[in-house]
Amino acid sequence: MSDESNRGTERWIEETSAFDRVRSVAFALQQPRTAGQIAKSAHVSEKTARDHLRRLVEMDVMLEETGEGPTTYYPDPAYMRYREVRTLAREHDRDELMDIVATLKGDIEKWREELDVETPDELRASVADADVSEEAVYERQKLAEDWEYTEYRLGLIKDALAEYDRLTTGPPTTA
Amino acid sequence: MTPARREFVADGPPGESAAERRHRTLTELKRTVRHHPAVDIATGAQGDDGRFREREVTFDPLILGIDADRAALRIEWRPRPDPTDPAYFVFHYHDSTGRDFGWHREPNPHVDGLEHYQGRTAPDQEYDYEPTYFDSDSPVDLLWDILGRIEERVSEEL
Repeated sequence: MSDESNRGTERWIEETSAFDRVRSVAFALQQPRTAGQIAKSAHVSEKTARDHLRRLVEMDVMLEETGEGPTTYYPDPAYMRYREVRTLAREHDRDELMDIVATLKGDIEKWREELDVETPDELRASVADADVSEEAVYERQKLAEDWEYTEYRLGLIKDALAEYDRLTTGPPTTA
Repeated sequence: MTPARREFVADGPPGESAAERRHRTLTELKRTVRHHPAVDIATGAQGDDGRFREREVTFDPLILGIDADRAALRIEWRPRPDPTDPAYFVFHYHDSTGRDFGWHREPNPHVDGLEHYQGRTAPDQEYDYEPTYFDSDSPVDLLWDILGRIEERVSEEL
């Protein structure tokens, strides 16, 4: 990013704490990163980033890799998945989740019929067909990604429905 | 040794998929953007119906300081299968006065490379395209930078 365009960054720093920014950058990492790299993205000192990252590791939400190279951090995929499932259960009742399942299954069915393929991989392979224009190649690639993404989201919603009561449990009630 | 401390072994369980990264990243972008004072709400685009493939951020035009009735930012995040390849994305602003511009990283026939700015001043016009570049590889850092660019651009045009 260019230096003159930092109004957004200033806002981010004004509106959030250092912990908020480190957690947010850490939860959206695309690949394992060092405390120094996370500090730069979160606009905090490396020491601050390391302290907060260690706390997140202790809370069992981040993974820490201490191999031969520098220590790196990555959000724990198992925890992140659980979090998405729990959010779905808390933000939607069972009927709404069933409606989303129907919508997503309908999308997949539509892609199967309209594109005449059975899987996202088949759709990717179809771009080699002679009648697919260069512009349509990226569109098909995006559809294949959306298809895989939709299958992933269906899995989250099925888990939310299967564990609905457990996921929406509150504190014990008094007699 | 905490339970979370472990080696990322190559022969372990399969790594996090691009779909998982996309979902997790959209969740975090939705969460962080709510801290911006001009942001009203972050929802799915119209007709999303729980698909959660992209996010639509709605601004309060008064706080953003513009004369529009509606103003919104559309966010797409598309990780590549290889996590070391930069994800494709769309951060595209549009409002009811016809402002329509955004920063994209995706294959396109208009500029060399993936990263570009595109904008137009009226819905019946063609987009102008300019190459651009992004320094940060953090989606969250990138979003806040772009929120700043949007604020600057809409205030310049007043």
